[in-house]
Amino acid sequence: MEQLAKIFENPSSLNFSDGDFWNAALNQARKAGVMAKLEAHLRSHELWESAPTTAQETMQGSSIYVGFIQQRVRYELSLLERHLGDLPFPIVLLKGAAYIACDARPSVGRGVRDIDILVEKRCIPAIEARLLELGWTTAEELSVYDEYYYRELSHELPPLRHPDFQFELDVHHDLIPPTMRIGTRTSEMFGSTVSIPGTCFHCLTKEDQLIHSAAHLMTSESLVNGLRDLLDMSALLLEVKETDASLEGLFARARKFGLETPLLDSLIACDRHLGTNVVLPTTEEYLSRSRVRRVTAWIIDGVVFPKNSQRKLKAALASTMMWWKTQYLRMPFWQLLKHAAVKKLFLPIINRRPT
Amino acid sequence: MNIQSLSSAELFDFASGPGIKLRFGPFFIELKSDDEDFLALFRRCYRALDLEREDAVCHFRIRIIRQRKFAPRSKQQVQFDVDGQLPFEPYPRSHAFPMFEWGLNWCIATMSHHFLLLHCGVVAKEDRALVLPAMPGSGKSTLTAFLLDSGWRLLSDEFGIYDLTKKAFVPMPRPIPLKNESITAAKAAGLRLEHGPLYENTRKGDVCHLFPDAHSFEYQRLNAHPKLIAFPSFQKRASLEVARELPHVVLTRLTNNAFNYMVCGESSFHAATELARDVPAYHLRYSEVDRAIARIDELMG
Repeated sequence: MEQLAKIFENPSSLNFSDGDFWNAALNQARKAGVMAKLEAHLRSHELWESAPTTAQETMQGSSIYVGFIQQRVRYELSLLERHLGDLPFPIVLLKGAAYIACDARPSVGRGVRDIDILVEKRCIPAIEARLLELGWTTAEELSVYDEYYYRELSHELPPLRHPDFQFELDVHHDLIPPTMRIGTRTSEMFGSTVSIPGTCFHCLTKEDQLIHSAAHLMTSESLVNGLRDLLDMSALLLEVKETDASLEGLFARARKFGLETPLLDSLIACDRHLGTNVVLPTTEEYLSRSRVRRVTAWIIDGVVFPKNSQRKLKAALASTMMWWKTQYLRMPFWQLLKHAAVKKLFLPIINRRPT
Repeated sequence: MNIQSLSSAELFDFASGPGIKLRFGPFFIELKSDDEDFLALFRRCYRALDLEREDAVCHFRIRIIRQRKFAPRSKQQVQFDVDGQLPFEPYPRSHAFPMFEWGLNWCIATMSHHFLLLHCGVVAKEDRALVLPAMPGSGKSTLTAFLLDSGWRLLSDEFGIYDLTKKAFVPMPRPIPLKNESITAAKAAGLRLEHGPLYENTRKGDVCHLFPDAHSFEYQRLNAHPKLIAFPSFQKRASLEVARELPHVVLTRLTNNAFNYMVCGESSFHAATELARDVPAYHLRYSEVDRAIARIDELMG
């Protein structure tokens, strides 16, 4: 990931006529799903013209596709508004759908895979009944255990599908799973959501979007979209900076929900790899103060920004540590044991087809 | 320098080591593979493809990698990998070549939206193109193959790669996959094009690839402007029937079957409308290929 990270960190220092550099960077951008973001980034630094033609074409191919996806998201949100617009409680768009609906900075070059919405937990029965009535069904057949898992241990309903919609719909009632070690109920965020002009939907404030994105990234198992999420956060930070909000305020807000550490870890990564230059007082100070932060930074380096020369062992170790770290954060040990036992041992045995 | 200027051994050394850079029509591709059988067939089919400089920047970095290397040959597999993405499950090793063909098609169809990608055969005389859009099973590939045999050059059989700014089709000579009964029909009718092995029971039935001729490779850098659109439909024992298609029908038929018409949005709408309005289009029902081709030649003028 060296080459791609270099383009995002400090593009003006690069020798753009190096073909091997470009082949590596395009390969990494494809893997990380940020090809269209790369185009936007180069254009914003007035370096688009220096990119080789084939690289430009490759990025344009992705940008055109992302444009199509975003148009489709807007269209499906308008359909969804017809399904849900008259419900008497706020429906909050999250992540990609929110960025696109708000035309916010992170939406530039940003694709989405599903539409995420958030409602208060007490509103879940009403919205679920409405969706089922209108023909939404669970995307996959659920076992009794899956049903239990979603209802009791998760912060969202099972993903829903509808024949008129290309995207799956994830209905959340919280930003993080209730079993998480860190974080408290985020229902307080509902008090400060912002209405999105021209729609029936709401979004979180920029600060809360940032906190959510960080919490999501640091509790997802594989960090597959790690770079994309960090770029989202980096763009959100610019937006936060444009308002009068201070970083102290942002951290105070995160602390209130018990999500200061994921925010800090994410911002340290933005700072170290994307040249975001925002963490206060300084990244070095934070890192030197806490061993845990240093280990987390090492894991993120290994998983999101692996060096080409780096041994496979380090990458493997980093992703294993990430998995354990995530599992540790997601649920208490006994619950994890039960979850793993049911998913990996019990269900495969009872589901085994007679041969 | 083209592929044939490398010996089979040299090709294997490059492909299994640093990789080779190739130009397929408008696409630059880095290919790495450790499967010498695949490479031998690849070399035979794509003999006149240009080799690019070692540091050429590529659209796709493709790997055809052997798996289960120590298993008996019939159990060995190959995996298609493009920039770390694996669009398919592994294939039996003997089907590496069709897997490469489908894989490259997948790359183009899902990632190359800087072109409008129509689903049609395109052949040309010099820079004057005949466009053959068709549904599967209409005999498009067979007709395309016979057109090559009678002096036309191949731009493409699967993708009509339309450059929206140059308003021209871009050549990408690739093998023509004949399927099922058209394989025997083509052989019986005395088609002279060189072909690869027969692959039985693939996901598209039996497949046999006809290789593009030297003429098509010779003009692989020359774009062609659409002069005629023909919707072929092969029907046993039918007499030749040629009827003009109206522009709105042409527009619908061109776009319904296109790979990325929706993705390209407004620009593709304008391009397809122009094609439908400005290029004469005919429905062509035929049973005898020779007569169909003679009629096409007349229509091209």
